Amino acid sequence: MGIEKKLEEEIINLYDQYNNALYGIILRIVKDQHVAEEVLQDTFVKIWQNLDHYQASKASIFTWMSKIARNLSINAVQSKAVKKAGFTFGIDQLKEDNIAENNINENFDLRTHINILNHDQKQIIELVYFNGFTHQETHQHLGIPLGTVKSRIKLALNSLSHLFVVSDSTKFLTFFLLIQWQ
Amino acid sequence: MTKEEFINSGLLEEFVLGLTTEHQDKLVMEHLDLYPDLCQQLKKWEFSLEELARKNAIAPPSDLKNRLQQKLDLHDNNSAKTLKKTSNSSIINRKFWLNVAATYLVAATFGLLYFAYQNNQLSKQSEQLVLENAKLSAEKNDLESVSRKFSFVKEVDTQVLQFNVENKPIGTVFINHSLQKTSFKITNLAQPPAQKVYQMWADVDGEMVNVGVIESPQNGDLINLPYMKNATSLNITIEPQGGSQTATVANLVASIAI
Repeated sequence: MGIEKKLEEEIINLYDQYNNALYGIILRIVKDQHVAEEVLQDTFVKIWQNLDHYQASKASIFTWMSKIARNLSINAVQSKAVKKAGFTFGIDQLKEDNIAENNINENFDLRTHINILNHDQKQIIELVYFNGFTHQETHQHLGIPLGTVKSRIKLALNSLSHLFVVSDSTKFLTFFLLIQWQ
Repeated sequence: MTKEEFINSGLLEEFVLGLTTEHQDKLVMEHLDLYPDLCQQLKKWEFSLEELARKNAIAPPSDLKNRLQQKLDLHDNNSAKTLKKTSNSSIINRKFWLNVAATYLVAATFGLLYFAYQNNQLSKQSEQLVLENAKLSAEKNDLESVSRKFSFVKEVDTQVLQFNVENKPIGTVFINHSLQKTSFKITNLAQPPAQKVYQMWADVDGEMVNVGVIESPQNGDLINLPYMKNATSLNITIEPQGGSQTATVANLVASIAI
């Protein structure tokens, strides 16, 4: 098997593992299913072309791939001027208008998983992580100082860490207790 | 940036959210190397965002995987063709550029070696010049010092007396009473016998006072002697090596009255 084929297999494996997560991010940014499909393909082509540049010591593979996905999504939005129309686009609208029901993951409800965040933190994560807003755009959109944007992002990330790290520990503890019980 | 400045900059958050530029990525990596404890924070955030993305994942159409595979195959063929097309010419080009690079490398090496050699030579010459200069400067100082020391011999009130042995001059004594200075210029003094030295004495109030030892006289030498205020004569004797406490009058070589 040639190197190219091996690499292609590797990319397909990555696709199997991460396509849903990346598609979720892309769709929320571009807000158009057809554009999102194109962007997802382009994302994996770019990953395939640049996989040898990825350095595991620098960032996790998901951080690296999601950055590529986000950048391509933003480029697509800018090139199609979609962004103007959907600048205040919310998660609920996305669910209703842009995604066919059969494509929606059962777990899809951002609010379910970020209830731990307060309104401001949730809003900032939606704008920055799921809508691809820069800090500057967030500051202009929300009319809050840049410093506040930064501190809200930090608080939101810390709260999410608390949610996921704690919930994972809880799962482990429950599993451990169940084994002990049996 | 200090650790606090880096934390306050919000760069780490922007990095994990994929909002940083390449330059900022580099900056983040440099600071993570400097402050490794921040890596833990980064890993937590990375994990949380991945979890968040997974929990909010949306499945793309099922045929998208096949479409992607076709796209990859297409890219694969194109890149293979491009690779083949460029490989022959690139080998020739590579050889040419390797030769050019090797020539430059050799020329640059020789150039550097020559430059280093020249530099070394110049450094040595420069060091030598500095040493010579220091030596000349020291000699000049010595001469100036000697000149200052013996300048009195030219003064009009300096008394000039001649030492003679068998009517032949062996040296000249210069005495300046106002400046209270005395010196002796050797003109034709033979070497003393083996294990012996010449010693000079001043006759002060009937007592011979030691004014200096001359071990190996050199014609033309100008020797500074202590000024003896009430001396009535100057005398030269031959004494054992190292000089004597008292003059051996039997070995008197020359004497002059002042």
